[in-house]
Amino acid sequence: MIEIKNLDFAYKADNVLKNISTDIKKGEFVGIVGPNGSGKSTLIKTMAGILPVHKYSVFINERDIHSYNHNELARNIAYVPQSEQFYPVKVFDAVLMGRKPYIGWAPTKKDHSVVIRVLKMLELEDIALSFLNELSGGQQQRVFIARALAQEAGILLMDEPTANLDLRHALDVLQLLKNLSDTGITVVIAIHDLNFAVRYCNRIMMLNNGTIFSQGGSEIMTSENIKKLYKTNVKVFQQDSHVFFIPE
Amino acid sequence: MTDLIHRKYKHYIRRKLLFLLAVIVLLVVFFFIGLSMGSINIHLKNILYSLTGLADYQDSVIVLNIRLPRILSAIVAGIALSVSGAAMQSLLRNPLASPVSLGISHGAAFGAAFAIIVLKGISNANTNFPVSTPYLISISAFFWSMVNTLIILTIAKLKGARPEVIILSGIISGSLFTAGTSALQYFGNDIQVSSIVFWLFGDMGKTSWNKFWVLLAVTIPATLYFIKNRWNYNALHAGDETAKSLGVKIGKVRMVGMFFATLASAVTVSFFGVIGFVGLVVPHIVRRFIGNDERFLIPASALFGGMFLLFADTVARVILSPVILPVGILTSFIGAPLFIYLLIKNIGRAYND
Ligand SMILES: Nc1ncnc2c1ncn2[C@@H]1O[C@H](COP(=O)(O)OP(=O)(O)OP(=O)(O)O)[C@@H](O)[C@H]1O
Ligand SMILES: [Mg+2]
Repeated sequence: MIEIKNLDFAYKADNVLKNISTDIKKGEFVGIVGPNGSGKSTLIKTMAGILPVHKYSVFINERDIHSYNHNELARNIAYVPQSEQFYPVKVFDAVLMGRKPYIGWAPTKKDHSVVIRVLKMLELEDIALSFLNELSGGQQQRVFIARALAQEAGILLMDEPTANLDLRHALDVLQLLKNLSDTGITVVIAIHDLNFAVRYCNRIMMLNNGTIFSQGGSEIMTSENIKKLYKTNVKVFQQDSHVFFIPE
Repeated sequence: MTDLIHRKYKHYIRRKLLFLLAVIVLLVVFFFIGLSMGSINIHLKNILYSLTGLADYQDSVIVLNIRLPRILSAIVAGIALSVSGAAMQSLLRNPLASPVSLGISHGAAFGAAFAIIVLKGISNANTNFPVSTPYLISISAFFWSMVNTLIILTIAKLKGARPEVIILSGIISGSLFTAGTSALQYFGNDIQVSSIVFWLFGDMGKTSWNKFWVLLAVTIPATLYFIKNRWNYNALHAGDETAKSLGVKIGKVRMVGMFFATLASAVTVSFFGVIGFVGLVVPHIVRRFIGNDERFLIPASALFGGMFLLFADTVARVILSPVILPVGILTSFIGAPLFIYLLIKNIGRAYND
């Protein structure tokens, strides 16, 4: 699905991503964790085709990302940025933008029904005709997630999708993403909340200073690893099959 | 519930279509009013006769040779300026972008001054009846405003087509040309300087059938290009990164769009002089009615701009008749109160203000 081989990336002189290699399989739900500035957003943008990468470093469905044209890539990968400028447009129209890679002259019935379906999935029916700029931060974030879902892509990349959401909506969105990954959609998110990450993702990728510090299941979430990553002491608890963390 | 959203949305879209229709109707009405009004008023019946070749000689000459090219030019010039303004504002995500703020008018003004003073575009400069060579002036104006475009797009290309770079280079390049115009004026004689000032007033009286056809040949492809790219422009509202992830080729869309927008406005300014306000404010007026959706914003700006400039030019022809004012003086006088009225009355909530 997404294969990264020895990826280096620099905005200016210094490499922000250093020799990243990973192989994300179809239907995986990957959570990227790591301190601020460790390169989570940058890594997601290189997978989304937003930042220019070297040839032979990022492969989507076994094809070099360079070999995709713009619309084709947008039909395969949907991306939600960490923050997005919002503008006065109705929620329905904002979500309809997710259909852009498919729309020729005008949106079809199918485009409209996809929009309505994802509006429902994110409980946005009631505000479908409100202006995006008049919504709360969490509502806006859900609109952007809805737009990404409307792309009907096999790969979903979301940069901190739950950052602005209240507890219930955060859990709902994560559960939704988990359900989608169960249907074979590959999901990669950046996320700060370790409890959420370990509970919903089936792979955690720890990023530190532009390198993959460790990746794997909940077994890598040890207090030593977390201490190395964040320079903070946390206690790891296990109850039933759940792992959770509390700062000391 | 599903049906309800869909129905509401359809209703919302229908309102926009209605606005488009209303503008088209107004455009047609103003077209006939424009043909009929002037120093001699011509009855609607005789206008129709003239258009179909049945009128007497005098009416036909006035309608077909004098008023028709002027009216059609005003419509197309209005379309060119407004649609370019709308496209620039979207491409650059900046509400202040317009043919004027990007220095296109300044480049053209410099070109006109250059033609008049350096190329001696105004001959017999020492008599009281200077004879101007309008094509030389227009060509020079066009050339220099495209130099301005070239400067902007070259800098933009070097800096990855970032909106703020394009706007800044437009402003800087524009002020460079303004300085150049001032310098030329300093060396010109009184008649040359007043010719420059006079040229600067946007005036549809400078039109001819040839100019009309050239303008049309530029405006149609530009407008069609913008319409074709309406989904790309919609996506650009969400920012470059999101637009890219939705399949927009940012660099190409922005550069080619800017090229068409500057080309159409440069031709307009070179032919008719500086017509302020239209390119900047018409898209904003239209947004108040139908919002930011480029599917409607682009065609509606085009039509509203054509209608607006035609209206303004007709007022300019009749308000102090037989004196004909340059329309460039009137556009702001008519448009600014209209815009303020819409703003204060809160008409249209479609745009953020
Ligand atoms: N556009 C840019 N130009 C230059 N440097 C950048 C740019 N964007 C990010 N960086 C740098 O790249 C590094 C990684 O940034 P990135 O946004 O990927 O971090 P992150 O892990 O997403 O952080 P956060 O948790 O704060 O979102 C940082 O040092 C940052 O300063
Ligand atoms: Mg980030």
